Amino acid sequence: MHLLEVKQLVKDFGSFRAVDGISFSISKGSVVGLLGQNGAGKTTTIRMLLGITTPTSGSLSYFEKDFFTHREESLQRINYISSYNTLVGRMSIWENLRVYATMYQIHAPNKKIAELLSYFEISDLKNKIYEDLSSGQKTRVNLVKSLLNDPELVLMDEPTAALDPDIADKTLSLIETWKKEKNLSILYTSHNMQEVTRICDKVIFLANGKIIEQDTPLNLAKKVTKAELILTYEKDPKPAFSYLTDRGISHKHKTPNQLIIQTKEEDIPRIIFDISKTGLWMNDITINKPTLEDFFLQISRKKS
Amino acid sequence: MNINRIRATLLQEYYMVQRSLETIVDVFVYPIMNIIVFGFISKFLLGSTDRSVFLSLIVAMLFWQIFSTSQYTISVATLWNMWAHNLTNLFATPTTFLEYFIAHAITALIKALLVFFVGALIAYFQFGYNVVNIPFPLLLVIMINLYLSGIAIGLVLVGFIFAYGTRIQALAWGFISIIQPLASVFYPLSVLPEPFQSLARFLPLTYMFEALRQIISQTAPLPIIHTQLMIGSCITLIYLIISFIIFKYLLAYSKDSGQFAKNDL
Repeated sequence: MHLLEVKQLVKDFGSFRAVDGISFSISKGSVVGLLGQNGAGKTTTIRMLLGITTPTSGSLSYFEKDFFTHREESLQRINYISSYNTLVGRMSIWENLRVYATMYQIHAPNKKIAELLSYFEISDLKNKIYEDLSSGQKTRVNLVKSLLNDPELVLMDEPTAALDPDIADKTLSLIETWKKEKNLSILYTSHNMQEVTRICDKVIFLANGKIIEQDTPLNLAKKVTKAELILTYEKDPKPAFSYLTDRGISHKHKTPNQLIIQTKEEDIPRIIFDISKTGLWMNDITINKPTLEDFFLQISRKKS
Repeated sequence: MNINRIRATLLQEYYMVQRSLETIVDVFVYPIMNIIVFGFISKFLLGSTDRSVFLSLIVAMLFWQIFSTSQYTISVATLWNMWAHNLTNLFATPTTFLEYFIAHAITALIKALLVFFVGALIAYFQFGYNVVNIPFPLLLVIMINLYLSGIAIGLVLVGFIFAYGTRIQALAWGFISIIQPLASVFYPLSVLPEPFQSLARFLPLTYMFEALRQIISQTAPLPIIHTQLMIGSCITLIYLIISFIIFKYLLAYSKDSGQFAKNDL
């Protein structure tokens, strides 16, 4: 059963088509990343999925029921978090969460809030005013809000955008653990490719409102054929240079004693072996395999 | 419609009022100070010469607070959520716009009644007028009409803010200053020049305040007052229906243009 199914979703703002006939689905327990450059249509898609922006055409269903005719039922079973939307700054954390717990009609709301605050290690902040919190603390409170109703699916729009790497890492760990424990499904947008690679089972790439690729992060990274081989050497590199030049292998110096070779990933073992035969004394070998970020850059540059 | 979700919005409003000095000042302090200052000025200018005009002014100011408090509560409560970037979070829950506005209409009623009650005490103890002197059915009709008119205008203003963003937010607290002179709140309709007089006849408030003056000065027979209130009530009802239609249209426009989500950024 699909928790979310989007079919031929289109959004036009006047003559500008922000989302152009996208279709995808999310099944139970899966984490799907929605990626793309700024203006690719990610946020517009999330807003349509929440019903706060009306699609021009297409269909949208949660739990195999049409969203527009089953809005309340659908939203009761999902939740949302974004770094761009906050809770009411003047209210305390407890007050904010109590309001949402009442909205979601949580049974024993005080117990539920206390449990979640404890899980995210912010129980001691419960009486603090929301606007007095740090970005990391706010994100954790927002996460608590997004899990209050035990959602089956959470839409996360760049939840870690405002966080420093350490707090972002901790937040991601908490999301990962929660996901495993509760078999939670997530639709995740982010500009951080490492994050997406880490937590997403599948990635959907948007460009100009269209889906241009969708696959696992690993398979998408594999679509970038060029890998990078960095050799640090001591002795005369001329024979090795001749070898590379003769075979038309792209190479350049990074430092006087460091050579960067760009080639296909599968050719790397052979090149290392051949270079070693030229007598080059290698101190260090680094291989940078293609990542999701390389794929993102490849797509973005192709587009521009 | 779900009672718990209405209760949640009421709870939010309760917490927000507690934490926001601006709301306390805007809703409670300013209106009460207005009644007091307006009362003293009226007393100074008219107290010894024309008591019924003097009392009409105080009572008009007192009843005006029902309209302005209702309108303000409906409009500004939504602005608080926009300023807090919390609007998307709210409507990403199952809460419907109807539930949300019913909750704010309840809050508006509570606030309006509180202001009216305190104002009525001031009118009684300081200026010697007891609002209970107004026949209860008439008092009730006038209060309900002013409250519903405030809700109707507030709803339309929220619709416009949803559709065009916070750049027009000043209307939330400024729009009533356009209505007040036109609705002949403090003077008889006959004082207004044409074409404003004709325009004022389209406002339910005009009939309510005309009736109020006639009740206090006892210058019109009861059937005429009843007619005034009946016409005013019909217009209020029409306004309320139209305000729902306009709000629905503006909300749909706001969601279609993407402005609704942008309001939260």
